[in-house]
Amino acid sequence: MQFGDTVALVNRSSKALSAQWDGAHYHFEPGETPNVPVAIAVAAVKQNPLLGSEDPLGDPNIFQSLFGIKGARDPFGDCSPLEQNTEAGERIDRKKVMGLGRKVKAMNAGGPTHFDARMGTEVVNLQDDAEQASRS
Amino acid sequence: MRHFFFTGLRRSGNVLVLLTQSPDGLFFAGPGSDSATEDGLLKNTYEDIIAEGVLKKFQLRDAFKPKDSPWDGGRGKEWSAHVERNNSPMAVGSDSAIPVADNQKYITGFITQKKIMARWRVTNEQLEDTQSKEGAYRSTRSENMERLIDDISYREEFYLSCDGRGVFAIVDATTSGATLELNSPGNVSSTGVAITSAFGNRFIKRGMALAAINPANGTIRTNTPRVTAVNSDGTDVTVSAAPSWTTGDYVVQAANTAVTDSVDTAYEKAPWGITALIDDGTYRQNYFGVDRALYPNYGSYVSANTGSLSFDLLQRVSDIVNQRLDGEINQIWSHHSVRRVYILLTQADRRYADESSRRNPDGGTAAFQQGDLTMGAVAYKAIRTMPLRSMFLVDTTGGDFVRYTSEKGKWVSGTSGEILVRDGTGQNARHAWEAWYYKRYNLFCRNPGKCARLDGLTGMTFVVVRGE
Repeated sequence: MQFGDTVALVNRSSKALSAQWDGAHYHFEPGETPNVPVAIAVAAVKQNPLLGSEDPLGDPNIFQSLFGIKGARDPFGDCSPLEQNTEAGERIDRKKVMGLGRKVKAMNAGGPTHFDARMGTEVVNLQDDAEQASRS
Repeated sequence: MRHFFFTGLRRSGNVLVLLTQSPDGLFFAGPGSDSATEDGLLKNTYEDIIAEGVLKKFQLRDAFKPKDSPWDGGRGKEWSAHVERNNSPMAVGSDSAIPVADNQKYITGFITQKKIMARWRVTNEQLEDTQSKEGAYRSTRSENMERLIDDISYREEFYLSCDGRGVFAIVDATTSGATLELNSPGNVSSTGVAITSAFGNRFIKRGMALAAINPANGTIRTNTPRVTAVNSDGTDVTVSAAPSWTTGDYVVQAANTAVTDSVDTAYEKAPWGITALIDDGTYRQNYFGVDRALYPNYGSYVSANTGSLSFDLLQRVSDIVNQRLDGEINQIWSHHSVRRVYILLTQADRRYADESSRRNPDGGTAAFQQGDLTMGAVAYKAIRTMPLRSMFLVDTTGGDFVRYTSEKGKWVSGTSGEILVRDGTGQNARHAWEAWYYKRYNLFCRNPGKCARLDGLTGMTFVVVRGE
């Protein structure tokens, strides 16, 4: 890779996808985006895996991605249309997990709450919100 | 004894009133001396201490124990990275050709210092009037100077959890007027997360001045408004005037509301924190001079968009870092919300307790006392400022974390060594004083490839179903 190398990056899905590289956030509309710096294109590929496509016993760098790079070797050169697997819920392919791990059930432990995020020391000031709502 | 007699029609109440009169003709005052009747006689007494309502425990700082290394000044600390071995070793036969010579490969990088400053102003009257125990719970000098150091630590917790850019959040597309909608707190992407769950305002405090930085070139946008409210929905802050910033801009702290240059903001001024050190280039491609895209061993293993958490995944990550660079995970750090996911993972196993435990079932874990959970004897710490939806698997020994320190923290002194200096000169002179405190250091991980990070964890957790 030389400084300034770019590639054609293809968002294989029908939705806009995002990637982050060197702190900057990039958004890619469906279809081809030309002249994407190689490092950013690789980040987009790695950060947008097809859920359920990574072999839990195999190379962690080999998986299907919602991005394809034109001219790249497989599997990352595949630019045909592909939609996210909404049923998998995780990167690894659960069917390839050995032993009891194959027989799992998903449970929902919830996400962070406002209390969690704000570290619990903030007053919930409903007045602020009310005033803001009245102004808007 | 006073005599009384009836003349004409009287109500019975008049008689009762007369009965309460004292012998000398005056009315009784009531029950006599008590705290109500003699309130004017009583004085207040005062507690000796001030009850602490401000957080003073800094979890990430306490967990993150880098080795201290002195700073020698100059242009900075140059470091050498051994990026490739001599690849000449080869099996050879008798009198056969031997391989061409090769050599070790190195590149050098550069570590610079970052500074955090805090400031306190006080009038002369407040200094004098709070000096005695009779006049104040505690002197303003002691209170403010001690607590300012804690306040720096509080801000450091944020910096330690981030990538050194000092980014509070990203301007969201839904921003309207003076309501600044935010996503990606700490510059940790919240792509795919509803803004109501992104908690973009999590690190911002009321009263701060904010600036926006164009992420494409690092220049400041116009307007540096003050935060007037941090709204309880977690998504936004209200600022003193509509900033008219651009979607995707970095939101950082500004020194004041008149700032017009990014040099007067916190952008790129903070010590490099955990997302810069344990990273694959998502946050820092240029790792103190080493390009992580070219030399991935100076990047950590990062699983992006991970989804659900499972034990299979954790074992896999441990194996990956061990196979890459002989990393041995000995700490797991995450936000409390991720730890709850982990607790749920262990739920099925806790049913298989020993007999005594079954007779006296304990519904909690060590996490209930905020103790460390374990994963294969590795301590799992929940830390309040850690990025949401992420987990850090850290080899604190092999990772070799270092803090290069030119100043651990001290008050800026005047020419005569005084810490409180007069505020203002000329027309701006006031009978007031100022004190400044600063720290100057940076953090470094010599072997980030021995650590790993899971990004994009979701609240779904995969629990193994045992054969019943």
